[in-house]
Order: sequence, then structure tokens, then C-alpha cells
Amino acid sequence: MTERPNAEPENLTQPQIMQPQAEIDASAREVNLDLQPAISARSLGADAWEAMRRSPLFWISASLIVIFVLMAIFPALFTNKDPYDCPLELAREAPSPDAWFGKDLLGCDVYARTIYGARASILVGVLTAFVTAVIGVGIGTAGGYVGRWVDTLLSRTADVFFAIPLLLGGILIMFTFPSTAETPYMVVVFKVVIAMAILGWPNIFRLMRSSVIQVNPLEYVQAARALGGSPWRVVTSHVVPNSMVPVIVVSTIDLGAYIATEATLSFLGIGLREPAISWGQAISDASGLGYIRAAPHMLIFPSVFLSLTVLAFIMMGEVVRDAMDPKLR
Amino acid sequence: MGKFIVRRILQMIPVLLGTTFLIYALVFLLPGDPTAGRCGDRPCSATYVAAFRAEYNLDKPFIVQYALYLSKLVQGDLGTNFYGNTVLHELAIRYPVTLKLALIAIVFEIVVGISAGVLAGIRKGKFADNLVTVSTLLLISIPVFVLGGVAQMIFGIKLGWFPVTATEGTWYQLLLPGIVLGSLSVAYTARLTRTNLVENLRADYVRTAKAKGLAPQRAIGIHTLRNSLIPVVTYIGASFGALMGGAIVTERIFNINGIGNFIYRSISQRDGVSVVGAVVVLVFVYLIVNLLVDILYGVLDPRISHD
Repeated sequence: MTERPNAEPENLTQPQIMQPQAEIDASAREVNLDLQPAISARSLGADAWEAMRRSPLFWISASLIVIFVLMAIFPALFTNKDPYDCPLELAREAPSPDAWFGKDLLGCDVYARTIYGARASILVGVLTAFVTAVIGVGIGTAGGYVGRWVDTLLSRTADVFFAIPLLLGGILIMFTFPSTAETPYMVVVFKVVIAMAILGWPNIFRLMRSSVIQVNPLEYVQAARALGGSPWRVVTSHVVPNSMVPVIVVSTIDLGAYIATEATLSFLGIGLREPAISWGQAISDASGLGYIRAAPHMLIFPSVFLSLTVLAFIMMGEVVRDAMDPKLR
Repeated sequence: MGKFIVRRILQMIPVLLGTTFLIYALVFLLPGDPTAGRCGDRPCSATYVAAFRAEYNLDKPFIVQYALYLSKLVQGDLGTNFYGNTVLHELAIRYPVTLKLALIAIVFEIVVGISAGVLAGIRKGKFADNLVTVSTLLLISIPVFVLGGVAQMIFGIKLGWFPVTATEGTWYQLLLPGIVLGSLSVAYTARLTRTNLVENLRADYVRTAKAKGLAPQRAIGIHTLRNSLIPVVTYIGASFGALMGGAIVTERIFNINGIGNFIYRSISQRDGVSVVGAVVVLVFVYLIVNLLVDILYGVLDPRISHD
């Protein structure tokens, strides 16, 4: 009884309706086994892993994600050039063996800048997905578990935040709290993260609330409560772990969307700006009409990297969803 | 039915109030100087700050501030920008072009999205299905501003099929930008149509329709499609938000003289009154479109309770 079965990480990836816990009495176990004929002895988490392992899309997106995360943490692994070394006389030079992706407006190496630009996108995407998940799960659990007027109040509040489109709200917030060239890198990153998290949490809130409402009446939750578990313990070790799957899937997909939104804000000139390096800003610099004609390489390479990163996260989310959703199998 | 519509409109009021309050709080109430960034990269002069505080009643109690702001908003007073023009006037001369652009995008979204979704749905697992699934995934991953730049480069400059910019805003000039703008939503529309169609094709009523001898076109076209499109209608309303954000980017890339480009230029000139005023209007348009879609949803789906 004192052990915490749900502390194992694999339980986090189990779908909403789970096999009974060890601490549930035998009758509850029987009921659940009747509902699930014994096709396989594997847990649903292991089952999902089996399904994912066979999917080529899983391996493609996983390797892309690993590459981009490595690029974000150790850019020097991928290039030995300095992204701030910009000889102006080489401005807009086409790709050559010396500079694979060519040079940008100021003569900086496009390849080096593209590699170093991964950090901003990955950082903003991961942090925003994390912050929205924490807020959404916290408030969603409160609403779904407590119910009554607390739920009504939280749901109506979420409706208000949900009603403002991400990019429009992002523009308002980023415009109200402008950054200058002297603003430290991490402060700008946090601003973008908070701007998107303020508008993004209702998405996770709605998901979490409805899955908590689904899990709440299940036998093992009732049993834990009947055995005298405190509300905190019932919530943290039964309700939350078993409601997390949709949140994990949607957070992964949203991560891609946040990266795209950050790039759009930087493109509009109110996200990250010099001296920070970001793909959105690089694309913005490159997409002046004359430059598209004269130096398309400045546009293509950061665009491809940005799109591949967004693709990797969206694809990963979809693979996980397909593996977790038995209806689609 | 009338009761249902009235109830939906009444339910909208708290959301509208909440949204305006949220916007107001984001712009004026959070810690920080509300005049920061309104005077270019320099701090504002004391005179401007004083005038600004007086205009937005920042010295009055907080509820009064909000009420006064709201009453101005209701009267269409969005403030006056750097050039001495009211924001409302600036928006009024620009909205027809943006409306045209949005119309092209939505028509493209509906026609192409639904056809692709139906094609994929009725051939589940076949080549057409895989093609649609993979190409929509790619389309979703490419941000609008990347797609815009690349489309301009390929179709405008290299192939010369479309005008490179759309300065005059004729239908033909707006065609390429409209397609670019609608491309993200087209992918979601196609996927949603496909999922719903696949799910409904398994439903009992479709089997009944086929069993009683209906031609497959009729069973799919009339019975299944009609039911599958209900969630798609809702999505198209929700996609309007992404569409308006995308319009800012698309209009900048193709140099279209609409509301989006106005917002973009105001951002680069750090013209706060214009940015906030115009974005607030877009949020309102979004809310109203969604209210209309919500009502339409009730009309389309009789299972939704009208009490």
C-alpha cells in the first residue's frame, strides 16, 4: 500500500482507462478484466510502444527531434563557423563549397546562423508546451475533480482566454512589452513563452477537465477514495496519471504550433530580435522582394529547417495519438 | 429556434465582456509602463504620457477606467494614430481588400479541403488517402510566411503565373495570396472531413441506406456527407482566427494594402494606438463569426437541443 505504482514513468503514457492497480480489491479487478478480454498480457503502455516501434513515421520524427534538440544544445557540434562573423563584402553571396548555404544580408554564414537559430525555436516551443501543460493540467484537474461552481467559474474563465486567437493576442502582448537590443536573451524568450502560454492554456485545460471527468467515476478511483485516500493522494496518484494521455499528445502537436507562432512573431519584428538568432527573423530579413529575386538561398534554408522542426513535433504527436487510440487500430 | 438564437447571443455577452477586459488588462493594467513602445524606441515625453493617461483615464479607479474604455469601444472610438487619422477611418478604407482576400481563402478552404477530405475518406488506405494525409501534414508544418515567400518566388517570379505583388487588390492579384492564406486551414479541413467521413461510413444508418438499395453516390453524398460536414462547419469558424493572423503576414509579403498590412506597418512604426485598435477589431470579428457559426451549427444539426 505504501508503494506508489504510478510513480513509474511508463504509467504516464497509459491511456485513460487503465488496468486495475495492485491496491484495488479483487472484485474491482474482476470487473475490469471482464471488460477487457485477455488478448495480450502486455500493459497498454507497452502495447502502444509496440505499435509505435513499427511505424516508420515514429523513427523519422524521433530522429529529427533528436537532431534539432542536439542542435539547440550544442550548435558547435554541427558547425565550426561563428554566426556573428559577418564580413560585409560577402553579403548575399550564393552557396559555395566554402559556405554551403551562402551568406546573408550582412555577410553572415547562413548555415551557421541556421544551426544557431534552432536554439530559440526549440527553447520557446518546449518551454511554452511545458508551461501550458502545467497550468492546464493544474486548473483542469481542479475543475474536473471538484466540479460544481469551481468548475463553472474556471470553465467560463477559460472561455474568455480561448476566445482570443493565439497570434493576435501574441501581437498585443509582445507589443505592450517591447524588447530592445539590450534585453537579455532569456528575458525575451520568457516573454514570448508567457505571451503564448497566457493564450494557450485553455486548450489543455479543456482536455484535462474532460478526461478527469471521465476517469473520476471509475472503480479504482472510487476504491482509492473508499479506502480512505486523501483527496490530494487520490488526485496525484490516480486521477492525474490516468488522464494525462490526451494532454501529452496535444502538447506535442501544439509544441510545433508554438514554434511556428514564435517564428511568425519574430517575422513581424516583435518576437526575438538581434542579437538573438532566430529562424523567423532570418526569414523576415530574406523575404524582402528584391532579395527573393536576387538571393533566394537566404530564404530557403531557414525555411526548410523551421518547417522540418514543426513537422517533426506534429508528426510525433500524431504517431503517439494513433498508438494510444485503440479505435484507429 | 428563436429562443435558441437569443440564448446563444445572451451567452456571448459574458465572453465579450471578459475578452475586452482581458485585452484591456493586457494592454493597460499589467505591471509596466503602458506608454512603453508607443513613441518609437525612445521613452515618451512627459507631455505625451500625461495626455495618454488622461485619454485612457489611467488616474481614475480601475473599474471606472474599464467602463470608460468599453463605452468608447462601443461607440467605435479606437483612438487616433500618429498621423492624426482615427483608427476606425484607417480600417474603413482598407477592409474591402482584406475581405476579398479572406473570401478567396475561405472558398479555397471549403472547396479544396472538403473535396480532398471526401476523396481520402472514401478511399481509406488507398493511394489517394495516403497522398492527402501526407500532403496535409506537410502543409500544416509550413508556416504561412514561409509558404508565402516560397509561393511568391516560384509562381510569381520563376514561373510568372501570378502577379508578384497585389498592390491594387484586384481579384486576380489576390488569388495567389488568398490560396496561401487558406492553405493551413485547407489542410485541417481536409483531415477533419476525412476523419468524420470514415467514422460515419461505418454507422448503421449508412449500412441501412446501402441495404435498401441506394446508389453509393447517394448513400455517401446525401446521407454520410451531410452528417460528416457538421464539425467541419464549426472548424471553419474557428479557423477564422488563424486566417486573420495569417492575413497580417500574407498582406505584408504580397504588399496588399489591407488591414493586415496596416497592422504590420503600425508594428514596425511602433504605432501602439493603431496596433491595439486594429487587433481588438479583429478579435471582435472573430467572436462574431464564431457566434454565427454556433447558431448555424444548431440549425444544421437537429440533435442539438434548441430549448
